[in-house]
Amino acid sequence: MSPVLLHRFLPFTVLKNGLQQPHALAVMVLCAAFSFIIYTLTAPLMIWVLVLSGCAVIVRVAGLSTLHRLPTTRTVNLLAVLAVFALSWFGLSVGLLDSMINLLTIACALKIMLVEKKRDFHLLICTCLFLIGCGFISSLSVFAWIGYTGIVALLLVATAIYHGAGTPVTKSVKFVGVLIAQALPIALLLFLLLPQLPPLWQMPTSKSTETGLSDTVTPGDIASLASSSELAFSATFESPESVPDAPARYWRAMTLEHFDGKTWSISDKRKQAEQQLAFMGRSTPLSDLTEKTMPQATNYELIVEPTQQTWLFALAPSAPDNLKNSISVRSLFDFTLRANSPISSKKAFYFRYFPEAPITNSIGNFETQLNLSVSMNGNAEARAWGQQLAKQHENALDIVNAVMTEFKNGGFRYTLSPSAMPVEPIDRFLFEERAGFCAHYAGAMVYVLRAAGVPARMVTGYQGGNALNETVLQIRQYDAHAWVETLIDGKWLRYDPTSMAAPSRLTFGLERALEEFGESRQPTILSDFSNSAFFTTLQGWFQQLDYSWSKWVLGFDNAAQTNMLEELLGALTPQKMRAVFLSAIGLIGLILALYFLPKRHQAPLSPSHAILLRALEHVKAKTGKDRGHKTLSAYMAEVTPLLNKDAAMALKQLCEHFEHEHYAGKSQQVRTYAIMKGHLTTLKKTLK
Amino acid sequence: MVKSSVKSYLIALILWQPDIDRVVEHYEWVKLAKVKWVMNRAKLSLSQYVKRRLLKWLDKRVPASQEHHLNLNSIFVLPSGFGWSFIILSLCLFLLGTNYQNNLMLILSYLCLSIMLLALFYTHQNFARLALKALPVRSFHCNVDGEIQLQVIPHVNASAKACSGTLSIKWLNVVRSADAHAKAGSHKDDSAVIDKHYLFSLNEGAHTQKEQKQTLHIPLHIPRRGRFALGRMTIACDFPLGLYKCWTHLDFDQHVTVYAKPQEGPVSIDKMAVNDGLDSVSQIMEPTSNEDFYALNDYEVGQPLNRVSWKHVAKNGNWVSKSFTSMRSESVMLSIPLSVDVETAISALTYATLLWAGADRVFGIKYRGLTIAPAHGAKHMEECLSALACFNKESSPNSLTENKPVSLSPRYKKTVRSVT
Repeated sequence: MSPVLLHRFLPFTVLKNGLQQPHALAVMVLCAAFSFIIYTLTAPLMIWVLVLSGCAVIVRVAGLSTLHRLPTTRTVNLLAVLAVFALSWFGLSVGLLDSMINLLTIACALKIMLVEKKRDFHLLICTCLFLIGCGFISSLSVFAWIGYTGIVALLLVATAIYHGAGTPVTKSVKFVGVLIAQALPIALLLFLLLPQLPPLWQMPTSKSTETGLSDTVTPGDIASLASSSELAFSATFESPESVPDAPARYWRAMTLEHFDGKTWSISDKRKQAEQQLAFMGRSTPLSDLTEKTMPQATNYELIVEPTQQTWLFALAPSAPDNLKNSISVRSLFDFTLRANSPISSKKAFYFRYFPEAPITNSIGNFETQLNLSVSMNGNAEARAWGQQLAKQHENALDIVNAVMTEFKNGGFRYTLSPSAMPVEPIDRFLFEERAGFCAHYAGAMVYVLRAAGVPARMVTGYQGGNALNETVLQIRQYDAHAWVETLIDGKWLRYDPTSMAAPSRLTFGLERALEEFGESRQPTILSDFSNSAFFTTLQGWFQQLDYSWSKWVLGFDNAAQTNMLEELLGALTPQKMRAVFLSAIGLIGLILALYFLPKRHQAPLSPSHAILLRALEHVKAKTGKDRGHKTLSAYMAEVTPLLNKDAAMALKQLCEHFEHEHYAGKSQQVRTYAIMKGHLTTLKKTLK
Repeated sequence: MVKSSVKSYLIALILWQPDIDRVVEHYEWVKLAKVKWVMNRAKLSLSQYVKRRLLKWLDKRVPASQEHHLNLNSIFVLPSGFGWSFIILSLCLFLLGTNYQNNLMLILSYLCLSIMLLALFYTHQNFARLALKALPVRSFHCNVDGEIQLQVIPHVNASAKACSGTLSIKWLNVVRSADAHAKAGSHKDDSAVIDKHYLFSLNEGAHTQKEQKQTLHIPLHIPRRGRFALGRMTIACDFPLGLYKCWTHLDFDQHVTVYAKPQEGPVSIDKMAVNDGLDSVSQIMEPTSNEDFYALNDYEVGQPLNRVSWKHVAKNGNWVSKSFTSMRSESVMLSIPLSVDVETAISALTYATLLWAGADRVFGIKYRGLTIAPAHGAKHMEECLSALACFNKESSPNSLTENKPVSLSPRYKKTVRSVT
């Protein structure tokens, strides 16, 4: 072999030598699994941790070859000390949960360079499995689940190779495949029947994954949300008739009553008042609503994507159905809803919507006072306009209508990208730019109304929703919206100034509204592509799949479990529950018996034997003679006179070939099989 | 007061009912007292007591046999360290999933638990395919390690597949308890050897039972001479995932004679031909010096060159080797003065036996109560060595020698510790 060729083969031989080290293959598979895990965890991991993990994997794989050496224990320990310092430095900024994930990943990466003993390997497998568990905190889709299950399988393959003592890899892979296929039904059974517990204690949540609306709004914030087409929540109604019409789909989340001249936020006074009222034990108006029998109540279910926050959105006014909710939801005096713990995974919430019920002024004078306060910090022109309106009109309703008319006829433009208005934002919006997004309109209107002496507040939430099917609405982040509520005659009335400037926003959604003003939400090449029919259907399927997954797997909670069991068994009694658990154990036992009880399986017939039997069946059908326990030749002698010449010939040859193969050995099996098949077809033909 | 009364009660019971085990079965509370009493009496530590009970129980459950086909009775299964950490991991995932109300984490946790459950059956199923047969154990000298050979044979409940994975074999007790008990003093030496694991990976190529034919060589370390019944060995396997450890304690019902350590010593050679009773004591001579030419054979590779008849090679190129024999009339009796310490004497006689038998001379042994008639050949050598090995040992139920061993003398008891 020429030196050049030798040189070319060198890397392969090195790799081959490396693979001959004990457990090298198992370690390689483990490294692969670990790489996949860190690839999926890029969001919570810090960049230097990612780099460290990547390097560790490379060092490990290179260390398998004879050319490279692994770092010594001392080096790795030094690295560990450095990493712990770095982590405690950065850890404060990323929060407890993320720093824990980072710590686990670092530990894994450092250990991977030093896999020597059995214990190290086992430790790594367990840590990787736990990291997969952490991965589920943020990734909840079907595909994430499939991918992570694949990684679990990879880890098991690594373990199987490690303990296989030289069993062929294909065998290990097959074994793990069978193992997981067998384990899934049992896991599913456990999942369906083991009781779903409420959270035992409060867990830290990840800061990086907080999504959706925030509790302060500076005009422009919601416009940035509009670029995201991620799902915010899905609403499932009981019947197609109970789905509200498009203009009425206001999903109320927060009331922002404090304005500092730039930013709207939840008023601190409101928070204090709520705390005091809750302390006094006063029931909220929404909880009273539940007890009254409102005729037109509509039940619906929200499947909320994780927001890591406590506020919830609902059609106003909706009361939570806490008997069904696994995280209980409390209502506040401004008719908003809060979950008792942050929503850290997809959760189902159940509500009852009362379309007829008004939003009342529940704390009396306090709310009026709170919503009349006008920030004297700038925006003088808007204030003056408000005061002027107050002079012109006597009625609060007239003032509101005047403002709305101004938005409708004043040449206002609806745009996602208004020019920045850092100083005196309301004055600039109302009297110079006249172009803005929903928060601009709502903010300006509230400000003017307050100046005119009409109590008003900004409300944020979502407006709209696409129908996934007849009873399901899907609301995405770009449906985020802000509108106005004014207190007239003790009731809070909803006004949407954006709908004056862009009427199609309410009925056809954001994209259509923007189109009318010559803008598009996502100016990408994909927009053309997304219009094609194929892509739309595909997207529809995925949305449907995602919804079903959310509803049946992610949203499967205590209520769903009880429902399922009640449907199966009727009303649940403790005795029945006991029976359910016993039968679950029995079922698992049955499944295990199915897997492991020795099966008596017949050795499969050789192909030529099968052909012979088929031929004999045809002969029997023709002649009516049963072979019974006769030998082949005796039977042939018996039936030959009854058959025509060709058939007898074919049968004879068939039998000869069979005997030849059966007694002579297996040298020419393939050819014999083909010949016999030919004879069989001639036999069939001639017998007809 | 209480103690003494219990004691007297027990003694009364034992006098009345000599089978102490049956007494114990009826009176649970007496059992505790008996344990204490036995321990005080025999000065046994608790662990030794437990071990003895375990062995007794095992003798009933997995009786000794030359061939073992593993089944439900003989297999023990428990999660390994990895298995326990896997269970703890599943529980942690369950807690995490519950606290985050995350169903996917819960499913992962249940998946891990199901895998754990299935692995139990797979581990057992694999191990239950193992069948082992012991080959007869060769004798060895106590200063070197012997070995026992186990052959992997097809299992009777012939399932199509063979047992795979790595077998870890370790001695639970090298010799059976009756012997071990008598030599509690030398127990410390064994412990280092006993804790050693021997790993064998079952051959990969074999897919079916019939293809599998493998012999496992397990080292055997017995530092004392004598005839021993081999004890139990622990055979463990954690195939396929290492989550469980399947093990069994097997007694292959093998006996081994451990010869004494050969050591040069003052052996006196007593010529049988000279029958006048004169003990011509002389230092041992090189036995090859007084052998007689016996025959010419074809030379075989490996024979010593000094046996080659160079005359024949020079003459016609045929390689022939001379073989020698000692005259039957010149048979000798090997003996040793009584003043020499027993163990030294046995070692010296063993050495002499090896030397004389290696030269194929006729010789016999006479030492204290032990007398072996002169003879020659490999069989005779074995006989001599066994007799020497079992000399003065109580534990030689099927001793090869006709001579009954002499009972333990107080002097011997002292020497056991100093020699071994």
